[in-house]
This record gives sequence, C-alpha cells and structure tokens, in this order.
Amino acid sequence: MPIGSIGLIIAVVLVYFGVAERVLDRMRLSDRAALIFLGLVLAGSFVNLTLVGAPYELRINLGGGVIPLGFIVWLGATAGTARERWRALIAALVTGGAIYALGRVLPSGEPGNWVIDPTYLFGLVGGVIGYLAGRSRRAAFIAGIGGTILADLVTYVANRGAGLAGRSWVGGGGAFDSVFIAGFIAVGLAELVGETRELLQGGPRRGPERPPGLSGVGGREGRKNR
Amino acid sequence: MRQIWICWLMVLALVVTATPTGAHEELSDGHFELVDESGQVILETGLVVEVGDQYLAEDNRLYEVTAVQGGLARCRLVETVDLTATRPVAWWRRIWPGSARVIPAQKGRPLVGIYHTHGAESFVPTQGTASVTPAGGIVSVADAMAAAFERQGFEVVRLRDAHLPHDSRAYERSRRTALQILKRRPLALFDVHRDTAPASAYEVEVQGNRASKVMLVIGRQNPNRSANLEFAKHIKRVADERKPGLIKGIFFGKGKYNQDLGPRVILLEVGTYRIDQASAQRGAMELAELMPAILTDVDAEYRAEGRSGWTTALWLIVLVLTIAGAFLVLSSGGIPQAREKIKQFISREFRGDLFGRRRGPRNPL
Repeated sequence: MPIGSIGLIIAVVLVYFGVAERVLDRMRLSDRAALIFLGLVLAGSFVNLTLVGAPYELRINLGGGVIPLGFIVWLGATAGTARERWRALIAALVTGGAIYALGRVLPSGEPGNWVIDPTYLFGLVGGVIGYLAGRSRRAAFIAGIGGTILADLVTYVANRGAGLAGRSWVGGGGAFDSVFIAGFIAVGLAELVGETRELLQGGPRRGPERPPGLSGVGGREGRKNR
Repeated sequence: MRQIWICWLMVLALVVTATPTGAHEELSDGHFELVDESGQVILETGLVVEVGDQYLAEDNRLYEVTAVQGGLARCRLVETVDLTATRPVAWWRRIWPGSARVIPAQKGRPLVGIYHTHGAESFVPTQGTASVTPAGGIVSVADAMAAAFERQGFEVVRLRDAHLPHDSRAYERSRRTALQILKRRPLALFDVHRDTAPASAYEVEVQGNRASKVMLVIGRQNPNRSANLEFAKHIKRVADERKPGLIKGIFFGKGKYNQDLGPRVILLEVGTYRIDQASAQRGAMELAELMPAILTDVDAEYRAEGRSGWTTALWLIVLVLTIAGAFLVLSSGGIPQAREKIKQFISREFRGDLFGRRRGPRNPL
C-alpha cells in the first residue's frame, strides 16, 4: 500500500474523529471544510486537464493541482492580516525556488543512492522551508503546496526554454503527489515546532495575529488563571 | 531566535542527508564490481552499490554487500534460494480468497503498463552517446517491448514521457506517469532502464538470438517490497525454465523506485549502454514473450513471506507511538503526569463529530 494512501487514510480518520481539530482550528479551518477538501482531492485525482498542447504539453491534475491551488488561494485570501498574506506568498516563492534549485544542484542519483527517497525528500524540503519562511500553520501549508507547484511550473518553463519537448505535469500524482507530502509536512512541522516553542516560553503569545477563538484564553496569563 | 537557528540546522541536516552516500553520483560511466568471499566477480553494474544491498545472482545464490571501497563491493553469500520450493502460504492470506495469488484472476485481455523514468538513456554503439534528449534509445527498447506484449495478446498502456531533465527530481516526475498508468489497473507495470556496466556483463544468446540480459531491480525502502519481490522471483523462475540466461538476477537496492504504488511494479535494466540498441530490444522482446506464462499463472502463490505493506504500516505506527510516548513522558515529567495528560487530551479532542456539530461547549485550547 503506498505511503501516500496510508497517510491520506490516517488524515481522513484523524479529521473525522476530531483528533486533528487543534491543527485545523489553528489553520482556521472547520472539520467540514477539511473533509470536503480531502474528498475533492481524492475524487479529482482521476481528472486531468491539458493547459498547453503538444509539443510542449502541460497537464494539471484536478485533485493534485487545481484543487490544492484553489484551496491555498482561498486560505491566503482569508488570512487574518495582510502581513500573513504577504508572508505566505513570499514563503511559497522561496520554497518553489529552493525545490527547483535543489533538484538541479543535487546529484541526479538513483533513489538507491539517497538516504531518503526523493519523493519524501522534496516533500520534506518543501515542508521545512515552507514552515521556516511562513512560520504560521496556514502560511506553512500555503508555502509547502504552492512552492511544489511553482517548482513544477519553473521546470516546465525551463524545459520549454531549452527546447525539450514532452509532457510536463503539475500535481499529476493526485492525492499521492509530493505537493501534498510537502503541505502536510509543513503543517506538521509548524505544529510540532510551534507547540514546542509555546511550551518552552510558558504558553502562546497574545497578539493581534492570534485567531479570534484563541485570543481570550491560554497564554501565560491564561495558564496562571487556570 | 534560537528556534530559528534550530530550524535552519534541520534544513542543513536535510541537505546533508540528501547528498548520496557512497559514490555520491549516479555512474554515467564506469561501474561497480561485486565480488564474493573468494574474490570472484558476481555482478558488474552502474547502479551505485551500498553496504546492505543484496543481489540474487543468476544461479540463485543470494549475496549481501558487506563493504564498499571505491568501485569494489565485497559480498558474503547469504543462502542459495530455491525458487521452486513450496512453502505453506501464510494463514492470513488464506482468509481472504485470492490474496495468496501472485497474479490475480482476470477477465478479458490482460493489461500491462510500460514507462521509462530516464527517457534519455541511450546506447553508445547505436546513438554514439549515452544520453539523447528528449528521447534516447531506451524509448525504442520500451516500444519494442510493448509491441511484443501486443503480439502476445496483451493490451498495453505505454506512456512515452521522458521526465526531463534527468535530475534528482526525475523519479518524482515519473511517479505521476506511473500513477496515470496504474489508474487503468494493469496486471504489471514496468519501468524500463539500461545499465552502465561493460557489454560483457549483459551479452547473451537466447535460443540462437543475440540479445541482452535483463536485470530486475527491487527497492528495499518500499512497503510493497515483499509482493514485488515475489513477482520478480516468479518472473525469474519462469525465465530460468524457458529462456535460461535471459534474467541476469535480482538486485535489491535502497530506495523505492515507485514500487510503493503497487504489488507488481518492477524496474528492468535491459542491457547496458555499451551494447547496441538492437540487442537490448531483443532482450526486452524475449522477456515480453514469456509474459503469457508469467502473467496468466494464477496458481502461483506467495511462497516467501516477508514484510507486507500492512506489517510495514503497523511497524511505523508502533514506532511513532513509541517515540510519542517517550516524548510525552519526558515532557510531562513522569508516567502518572503523562497518563493525566492523555486523559485530558482524550476528553478535550474527541468531542467533534462530522460536519462540525459538537457535543459540548467549545474550548479552543
């Protein structure tokens, strides 16, 4: 069974039973929106759209490309502050550039030569850089997914510039594409590092960027009052 | 500020671990020599070899790499594998009808899939160079294999994507091609490559025809390793009986080669860049001609029980729970405190049901 499908099933189960509620809350997503998103991704994996015809063909998968792209645009547009929106956009650009550059710079070895299989490696790179540049759960998710899609588009443009005809994909792996691996790793890291930070500093910091539902509770004072 | 440095250190660690170990680069020229305890060469291959890799040789002796120095890999004999030996099928495969079969029962024309991750791979005696963009000689070899399959009555899903450039993201791109083919639910999926070993390592005559040998490659980091290995053994068993010498052996390398996507997904090294393309095409066709015997043998059963996808998943879950448990105990200061935290977590988190209705008052923290 592919690791991607195992991961997706676990994600659906976690969302369904409310375990991932905390992560979704902090991304300002409802359980219903998350489940609809995952369902659309699964169903959309079976639909491909041709953006550019032969000889420099560019295809996008509905579940692996269009839906996640629309989803992160919506997430970005509804972000709390303009600062977060800009940070998410810049993070996506940085992540895309880093994935493309690493893909070109790192030796083109067989997967057997790598400590981590390339599929997971670029997901991890996208996730880590997405988190570092985006910082918040939401910006990290946008950067992980947007950056991976951007790297695919840059490869397409570079191939076209070099006269390398052929078919290129954006999110062609559907629900099992590295687009999602990067997005989920980014959020996972944001959660892990964010929680650890908050634990170390004695509670979440209050401020204007704190989600409305969380602004009145928690934090150092909140903990003291409990 | 310190956390940011920690994060950047994590990135650095990722980049360092991303650097290939051992020879550090795919061998575009030159090769590794695997030698047994007596110094006899058992395999020459351009695949980068690492300690722990295994090789089931043509004579069914299984070797494991114990040391690598430069291009020399020393191996120890693990065992001689009897591919025809029948062992009892695992009890859990008996519960679900058909799950013990290597090849599932099928209706209508059998379907197979063929693609190539490295579409630029070429043959020096024919193309004059080892790599031709956008389409190298390997595309013609895969085409010849597809044509041979069709002559045998198979339906073939043949995608000719080249996955350029041939950089470290090539397998990420070819994964999309593999998934497109797998949507059609083929019986088997073949990723066709060629090796960079010397010509002598792959030259063979099969029933009077000059051809190239074919090496089967199985990824070790792959939850379907057990199923794919059984399929590879099944191919070798039939080929050894009907066309001895055609299958060079089975190499078990690190990585997964997209084989996590299905139970009959195999990477083929058809010849080497030092032989002519016609020989490689003949080798691929000879293998395709065996497929009716291989892919319609619904009586073949899983004989060697290794780790299946589900057992791998189970191990992963156990590992994650162990690490999470240790983290919880350490962070909360003791087992009783950790137990209390889990109680709080369950009472707080398992409240929401589908579509956002909640049974109790919402507490965002």
